[in-house]
Amino acid sequence: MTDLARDVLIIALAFVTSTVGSLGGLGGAILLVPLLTFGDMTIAEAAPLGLVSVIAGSVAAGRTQLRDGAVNHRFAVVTELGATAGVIVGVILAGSISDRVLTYFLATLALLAAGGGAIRKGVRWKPDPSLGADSIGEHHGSLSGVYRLNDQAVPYQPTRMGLGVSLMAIAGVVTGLAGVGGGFLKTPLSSEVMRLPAKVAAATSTFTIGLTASTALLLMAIDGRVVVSDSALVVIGSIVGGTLGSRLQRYLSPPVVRRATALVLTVIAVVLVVRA
Amino acid sequence: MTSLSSFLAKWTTTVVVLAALAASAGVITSGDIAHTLNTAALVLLGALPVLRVIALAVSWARAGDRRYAAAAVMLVSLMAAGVVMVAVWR
Repeated sequence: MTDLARDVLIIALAFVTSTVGSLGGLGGAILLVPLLTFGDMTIAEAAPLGLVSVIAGSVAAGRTQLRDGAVNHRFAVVTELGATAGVIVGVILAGSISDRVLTYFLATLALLAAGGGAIRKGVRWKPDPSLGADSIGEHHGSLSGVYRLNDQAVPYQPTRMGLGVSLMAIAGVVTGLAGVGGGFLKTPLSSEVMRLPAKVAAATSTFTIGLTASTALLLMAIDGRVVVSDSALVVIGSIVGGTLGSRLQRYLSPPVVRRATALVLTVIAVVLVVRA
Repeated sequence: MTSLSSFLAKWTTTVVVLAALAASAGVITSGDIAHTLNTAALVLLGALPVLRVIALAVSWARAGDRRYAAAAVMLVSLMAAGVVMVAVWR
């Protein structure tokens, strides 16, 4: 393969995986890293590129999601406290569980999350005609908020936060152990356990996975594992992909976002098992 | 859109455009210039999520939402402690 063809392929893969990743709030690394390793790249070389993809996709998607009032920052900060603590524990414990066992465990979690999203019917939170466009956003001093669904305002109130943050901490341990971003666990936990609307869960998770990936990328940079020339190619593809994914998310109904997320989670489970 | 979301969206757009330009210029050029441009794109993108949490903490503190401002400060502190712990432990 020529250098030009290789560069174009990296940009294209980053574009596709970031589009899919930002659509469902899953991040694209868990798809991009295995795809890159089908070529001449090792996992150790591909992993930092996966993180760059998550950060660029997350930041690019953030523009549209912020304008739409789809991100609940207070929810993100509270749940990320549990997830980050878990990630630190997981990174420190990394290597104590065999890769094979961990991979099958991750695949099982992805399939359970896919099932949870696919089985549920209808829309949990209904539009409130009394609310106008000026009410869109998160509420002061609370985890509740209002999000935009087509031209309507939909109020929501997350529940079971104690259970949710505890599960986020466990998800953090798992992602720290496995060295993956964790969006494929955070989004289903937010929507199915803490009952955040699917679009808000996806947008909020897109923000938090960017935060986690920034920290992880800094650690990899300290280790000298980041190749900036390949990273720039991923940045280009992921910025375009993240922007497109977040715009597509705006026009899709919550059940469609849920089903698309369930489909991608199933693909992720298959990719994980194949990799194992 | 709230003023905070508007502020964050504006800065996010600026950083995304600058990072995309730097990365594109880095791919076209070569040598030290390319390395500097590519590194600048990565630093811009990598710093933004953390700066966003810091901006949230300041904004919430100013608005009197002290509980969530404290949570945001705790999160940034936890991330910094995590980086130091893992870097030292390795």
